[in-house]
Amino acid sequence: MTKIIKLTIAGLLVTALAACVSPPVNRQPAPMPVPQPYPGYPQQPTQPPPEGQHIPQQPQVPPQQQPKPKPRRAQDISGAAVLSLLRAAKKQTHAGKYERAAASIERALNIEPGNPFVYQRLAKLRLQQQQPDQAESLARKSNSLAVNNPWVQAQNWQLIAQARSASGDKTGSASASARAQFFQNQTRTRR
Amino acid sequence: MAGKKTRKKSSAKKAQRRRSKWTYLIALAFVGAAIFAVYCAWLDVQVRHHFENASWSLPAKVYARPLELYAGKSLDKNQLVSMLNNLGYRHESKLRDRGSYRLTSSGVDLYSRQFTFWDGPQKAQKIRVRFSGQTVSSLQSLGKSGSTALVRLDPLFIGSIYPAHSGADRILVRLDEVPPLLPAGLIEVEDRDFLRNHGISLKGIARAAWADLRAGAIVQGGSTLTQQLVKNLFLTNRQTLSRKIKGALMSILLESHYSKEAILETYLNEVYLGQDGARSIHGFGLGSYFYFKKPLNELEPQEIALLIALVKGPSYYNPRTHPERAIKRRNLVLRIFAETHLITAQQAQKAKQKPLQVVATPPGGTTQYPAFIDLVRRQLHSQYSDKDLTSEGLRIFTTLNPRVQKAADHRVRSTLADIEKSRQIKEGSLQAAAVVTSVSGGRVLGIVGGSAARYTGYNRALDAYRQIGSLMKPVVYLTALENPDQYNLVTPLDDTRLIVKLANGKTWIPQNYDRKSHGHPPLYKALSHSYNVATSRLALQIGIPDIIKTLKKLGYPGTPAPLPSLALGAVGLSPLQVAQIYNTLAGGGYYTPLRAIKAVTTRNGKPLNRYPLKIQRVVDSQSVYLLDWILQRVTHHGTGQSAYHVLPKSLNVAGKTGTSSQWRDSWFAGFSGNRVIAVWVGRDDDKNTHLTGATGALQIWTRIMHDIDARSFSPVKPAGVTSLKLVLKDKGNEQSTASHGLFSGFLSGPDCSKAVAVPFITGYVPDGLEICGQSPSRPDNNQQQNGHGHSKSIADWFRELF
Repeated sequence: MTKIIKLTIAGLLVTALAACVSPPVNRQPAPMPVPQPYPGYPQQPTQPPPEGQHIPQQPQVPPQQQPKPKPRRAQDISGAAVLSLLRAAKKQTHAGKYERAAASIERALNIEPGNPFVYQRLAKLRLQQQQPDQAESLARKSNSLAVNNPWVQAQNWQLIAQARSASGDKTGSASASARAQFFQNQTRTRR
Repeated sequence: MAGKKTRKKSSAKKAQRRRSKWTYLIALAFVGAAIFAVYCAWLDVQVRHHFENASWSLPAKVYARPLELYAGKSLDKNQLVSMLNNLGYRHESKLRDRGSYRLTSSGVDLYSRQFTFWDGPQKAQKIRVRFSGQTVSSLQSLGKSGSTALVRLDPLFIGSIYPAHSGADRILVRLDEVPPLLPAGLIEVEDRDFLRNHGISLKGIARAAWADLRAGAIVQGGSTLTQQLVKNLFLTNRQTLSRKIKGALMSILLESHYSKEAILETYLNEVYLGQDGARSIHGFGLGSYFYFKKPLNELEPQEIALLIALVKGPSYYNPRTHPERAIKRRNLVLRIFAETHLITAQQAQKAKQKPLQVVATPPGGTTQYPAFIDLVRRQLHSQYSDKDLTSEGLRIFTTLNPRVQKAADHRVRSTLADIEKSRQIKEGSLQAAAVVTSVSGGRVLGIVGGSAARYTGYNRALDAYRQIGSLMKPVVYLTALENPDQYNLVTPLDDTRLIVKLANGKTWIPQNYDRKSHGHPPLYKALSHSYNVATSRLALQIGIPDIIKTLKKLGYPGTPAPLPSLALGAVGLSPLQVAQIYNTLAGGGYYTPLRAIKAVTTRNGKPLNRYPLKIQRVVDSQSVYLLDWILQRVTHHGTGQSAYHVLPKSLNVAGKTGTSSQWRDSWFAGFSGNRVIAVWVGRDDDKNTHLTGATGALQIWTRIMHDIDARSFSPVKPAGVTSLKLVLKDKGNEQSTASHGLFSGFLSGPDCSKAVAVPFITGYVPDGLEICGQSPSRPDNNQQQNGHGHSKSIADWFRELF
């Protein structure tokens, strides 16, 4: 009972906070200069695309006007090589060749180890293969690479909820669903 | 009357005697033939048995990671060409055959080979690769329109797995895999009629017999390839007549059972080509490695000619001891090549000018990657028996990156030699080991088992368990940081004299390396400058059992004794185990068991086993983020500072020096954005090296990191971490008597131009910090609390829910 009350209060507080609190300081530990950003996933909206990386469908945003919108799908930030491997993985999954699909996704990870969508894709696959522990770990790893991206976080928490439910962890699953909902709401308040 | 009868009787008797003489002879002939037949049958059994023994085994083939080409890959034209050469791709002016490439103004055109990977066959493709500086800028498929997103080349063959105690070293080759010049040249030089004769050549025998007669002794061979094979397989070199007859018989029998191809292939793998101390060098595969340290398919015509030249007499023509004889005979062989149109006259001329090019120190073993193959073998043994591994022709796909391996080998050897020279240490007395892995995926990219050019079999990377000293400190501090209500990066620690009463009644008094006390340094500095006393005290406050728990979470499989000295690394780990632990730290708290193998298939490509990526969240990412912040300070401001004498400032790396007691072990373990490296330096006799982690292992570590295409370490700040700009003092003593929760080491009215962003767990920022960009009295945007953890913050609530 108390848990539910806490949850409701937390939910309300969070929505209140979202309105009142100014965005937190978001810095990386200087004085270490970082001119070579980790390829795959640009960490902050103002960073230039990683060296040599093909990023198709770059939105043509004039500088100083609006921050780059957060990527919502793999196509938004992944290079052609990774996308072709993910497409192959999709075909292999449909054909029931799960380990081959996993091998394709792992190849994609070698190419873009910082890409949260690739980890997410592997998490989904492990869920289909009834490996909920791996699914949850991979979804959390994906989250760690997409800290300020509510779209990615919402999907990942949804996966975690399913994984916990598959393991029989009902309470854990419920709280993960709530978290997914929280991020889902964030995607509506944000552009 | 009696005379006629006697005459008749005696002539009849004579006839009878004549008849019986003949019968006697015929009977003898039959018996002789029978004996001969039995003898031949016996020989036949022997011949078949030995021949099949020589060619039955199909050792497992081990492959490196395949090179994947895609737009954006960090690779330049020269590196690609070098890799293609290693793969045996031929440089040609036109792309005609598979396994060839040509150079263009903007890059390379290549025709890849077909290969069956774990996940299915990969077709041969014609690809145009373009470069822009150090990066692949585009891939284009020649032959059909459009771009190709990803091209995977056939992987480099790095060695085979042979039976553990086979007694005979071989690098087995198949007839269709060797450069065609080899068998063709061999036939022309040694047995021109090989393809036509039946095991023996009457002409040859006649010639040899004539030569023998004239010499008055048995001198010449006159033998066909088959006869030579017979000799190699199970007869000694003694050239007695009986042996020759036996050899001739066996050759005929061999030819009757086996095809020319089979005989030739076995010959290529059996012919005696040299001696390496007690070890005999048999077969062209091993011969190529023994003399040129290259696989057969990389040999140039004059090198092939030398190997063929050696067949006649490996000791007499030994290129290392009798180079003049060797080069003379080699050039004779080259002349035969030209005469029989195997190569052109110009090629022969050019080849004759070349020097012998034989490697001065003969390499031991059968592979350039013995330490790595050792790891592969161990990781496979749990699932495959020795017999499976050495006779089924399995294909093993590994994570080895030959470029990384080569860099690691080179840097270990040359840096160690430099250290010995500059410190007047006796040459060869220092040993080292190194392990390089990827960060994500935990793939083992390269292993160095020792510093000697000749691998002796002692794989220190896997088997040298040495005290890790200060490499343990990050584990201690990580355990502390997991309790943010008690410890943060600026919490003052106590570095004053510490006396510990041990359970056995003795006392332990840990000492700093400079024998000085540093007062009350902030937590981050006690780690980045590796203060023993402060760390020991901290460890006792946290409790050794919790530290052991953290060590195990990070991936250490053992259970060390819970003694206070554990805090200072009084436990033995192998370099591979160290790499595992630091891999978890590099990966933000996600543990991935290190793998050397990705997949195993049958020799026909049927998938047998896959070793998938597995990860596990073992430590919360916030604490690891804070710890990694300190490890970055180690290389920029702390004991690992000399890293940036070698590395560019733009490459951010993190790590920890380690020195065990009495300087027995010198360690450095650390990582960049994409590579984890663990290096150990020490002596096999465990004596004092007079080296610290910084003066020994770090020197090797930085040079390897410099060579292997490292990316900068730039971790994503996790949710629940707040960065505050503070001014830190790294020089001078912290003599403040600051109480817990307050840190007054800052300048009042801080000089914010020197401020540094310091991370804190959100909600656990201590009071009294002079934060740049804010006045001290204004509360931080995030919920603050005092250092005693009474009031709960919203962050806490949230945390508790999940």
